[in-house]
Amino acid sequence: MERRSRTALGLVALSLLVAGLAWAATARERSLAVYPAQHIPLKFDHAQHLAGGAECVTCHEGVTSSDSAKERNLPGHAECETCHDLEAARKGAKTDPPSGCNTCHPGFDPTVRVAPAKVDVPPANLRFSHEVHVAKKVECTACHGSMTDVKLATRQQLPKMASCFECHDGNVATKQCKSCHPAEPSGRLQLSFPSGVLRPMQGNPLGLDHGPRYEFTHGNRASVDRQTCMSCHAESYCQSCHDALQKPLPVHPNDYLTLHPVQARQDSARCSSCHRTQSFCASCHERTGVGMDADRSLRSRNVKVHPDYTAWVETPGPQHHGVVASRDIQQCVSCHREESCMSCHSERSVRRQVNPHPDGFAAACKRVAAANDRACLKCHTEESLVGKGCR
Amino acid sequence: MVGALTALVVSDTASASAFQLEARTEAQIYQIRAWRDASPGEPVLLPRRRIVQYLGLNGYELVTGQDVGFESSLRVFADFGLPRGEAAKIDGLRSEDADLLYAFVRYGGNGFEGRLGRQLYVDTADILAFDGLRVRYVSPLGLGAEVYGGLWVKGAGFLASSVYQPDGTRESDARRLEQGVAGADPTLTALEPVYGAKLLLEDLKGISASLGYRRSLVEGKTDLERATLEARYGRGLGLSALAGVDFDMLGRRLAQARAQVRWDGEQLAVSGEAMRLSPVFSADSIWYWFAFAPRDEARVRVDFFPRGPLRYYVQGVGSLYHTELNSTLALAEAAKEPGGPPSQTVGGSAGAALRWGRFRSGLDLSYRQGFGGTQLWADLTAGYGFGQGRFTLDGRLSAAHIDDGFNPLLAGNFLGAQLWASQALSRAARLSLVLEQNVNPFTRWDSKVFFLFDLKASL
Repeated sequence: MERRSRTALGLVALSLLVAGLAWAATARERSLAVYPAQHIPLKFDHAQHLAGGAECVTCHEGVTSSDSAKERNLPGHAECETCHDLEAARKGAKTDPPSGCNTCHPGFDPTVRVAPAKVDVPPANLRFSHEVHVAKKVECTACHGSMTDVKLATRQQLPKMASCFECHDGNVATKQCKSCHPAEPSGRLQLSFPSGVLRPMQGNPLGLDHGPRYEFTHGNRASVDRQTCMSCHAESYCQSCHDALQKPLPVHPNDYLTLHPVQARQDSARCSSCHRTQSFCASCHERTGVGMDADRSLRSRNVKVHPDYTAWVETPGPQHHGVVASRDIQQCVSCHREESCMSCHSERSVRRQVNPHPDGFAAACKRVAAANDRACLKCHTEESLVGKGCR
Repeated sequence: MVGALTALVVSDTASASAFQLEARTEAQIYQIRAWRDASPGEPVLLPRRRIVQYLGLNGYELVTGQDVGFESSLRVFADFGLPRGEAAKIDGLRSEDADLLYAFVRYGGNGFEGRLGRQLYVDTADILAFDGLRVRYVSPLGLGAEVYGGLWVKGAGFLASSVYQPDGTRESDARRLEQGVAGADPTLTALEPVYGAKLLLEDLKGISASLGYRRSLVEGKTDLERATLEARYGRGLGLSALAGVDFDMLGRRLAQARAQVRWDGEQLAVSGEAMRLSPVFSADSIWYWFAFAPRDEARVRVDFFPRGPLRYYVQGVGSLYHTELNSTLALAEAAKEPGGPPSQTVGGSAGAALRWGRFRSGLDLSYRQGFGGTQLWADLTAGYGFGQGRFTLDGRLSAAHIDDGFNPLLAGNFLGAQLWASQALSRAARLSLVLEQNVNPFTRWDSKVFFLFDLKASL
């Protein structure tokens, strides 16, 4: 790659990073699937109310007996009227504290409009009981943070999972996903909500963040910790990509059929997580005329996909195919059948009999032949195995 | 079975049972580039006219209050662009077939889980499918065990796919046996019993671990024998880690190893991964016994997610290809001379994702060079959901600069565009049409059409 291109790539990457830093703010984002978007056209100052001696339950009295996240527990006019004389203000009297409509509903003029803009605070898509938490003496601030500097409370004052995990650690309280997240009949978590799709995101306390390009980075997690994956995903979800038949559109980019060879050489393990090379890869390569062992009517007569034959096959040197095979044998297996290699690496071959085994193989051959000698007998005769001390 | 299910579904008896139907119809129309009797500059195009039907039927809580159910998925496909006569000449290629991907009954409760039927099994060694039984129990103390056994699902089996079959051999030598080819192997289609066990430790002060063993046999001879060790740690924000080791007991070598350490903050996550990877070959394959080396790979990634609709990541990746040659060969010394392909790759990627209301977008740039060639990719996606997301329109633009290290024919700039329109027909059904157009140095213009119909309904 040219130096200019590399510089350009570096600059783009740097710009992305700088732009990200510039965007940074102090608070954290919440999942829309858990806490749907709110519209709160109100003016309110928690800090002022707390400084004035109010307590949380003064306005949110219902929380002590609330056992569902569907209950909003937000104060209405009745709670406000404990201090704000709305009736007097309606009659034009001056009150302390101020109680006019626009004290809380900014811009609302009852002589012009019948009702102020509607407050929309959809319930959280969670299983939650304030009552249980209050009974266990969990302070409001443990989940909602200190409100002494907060004016209007928004989604930012709703707890993130990391806060929950401070108690829900499996010891103090359960840390089963289903204890807070709604589940489907299958027992797996409900992932799809009208407000969005539940997806582990930034700062996920289990380290499960499904960030950008997670389809390329989930492998280690899924192979070591499949039980956790299964708490949300069915087999069908995994197989929608690990299917080995269809092009998974979100995974393989445009024109991947043409472009896959370099990716396959540089990360063959990724290919084999979905594709069996001797079935999927070799068969397609034979059909398209790339495979050497294809039926004669399918073989290409004009195309060489390997470097110069002499350097690749005949002359021992750094460009010999043996070096490449040793480093990435899947590359060979994705086009060739065993017979290709046996034509030179079998003791039965009339062409060459180049030993393909690693150092020290002879010392172990008796043990491996006892376990399975079928592969041995593809290249060796019974007598030869006896002669080599492998029987 | 269908009769029994129908009876359950239409039964008047009050029950908490839930049944779910999942179906996907996917049609793909495009062409495959081929060099059969063609000049390098003018490849011929082979048609692909494939239609695939997936059908899944699931049932849950078949006994009220009990975690008893079943899950199944059947795949039927046909490629009308692949004549049967041509498919018959190629091992592993089928112009039409039906595969039962999985079908099992399940019971769970009180730390116990059991599955009976065709099922997938994933661990640090492999992904496999077998017809059999898996039983798992974890005590309240976190100690447990798992045992499983059955027949490995192989391509030549009943309603079976070769996707998770050990690699390195043909699925079947039936064609070659019919032709009387010397060396054709009738055991390739033989039944393959597989069994395994694991000792489990679940969440002891944040630590989970397992020690496993698996063995499979073909005609009484070992096809695969592996031991695995898996561990993970995580307790909320901060440090989490996982590791897995797969030891090949037949070859007496470390086959695969994976380790990941991740630190999660509220706005930042840093993760590092190290892997040693080897192909999983059947011991029936000659390649299993060849001198080949594993590949080591390391990745470091930083994710940054400030408040707002954007998030970012930067990743660096490097691979090291080891060389293992028989030292008695002249090649072993000659390979050390300069002028060969590089033994490593280095690269990285950076990207941003945007989610703003019903608008979503992502940009990814990735670059890698070294063994195998050079690749530079830029991928831009964007989509919008209209009318509460009932109609969505997504686009994808890709640009790649490729320089294959082994095949000089594959080099140049490749551009592609994809447009994906999707309409929800109801809460359960969605219809999608995807058009893909590519511009490349080989075929100049290359078009693909994909049609999808998804159904996920509760019965």
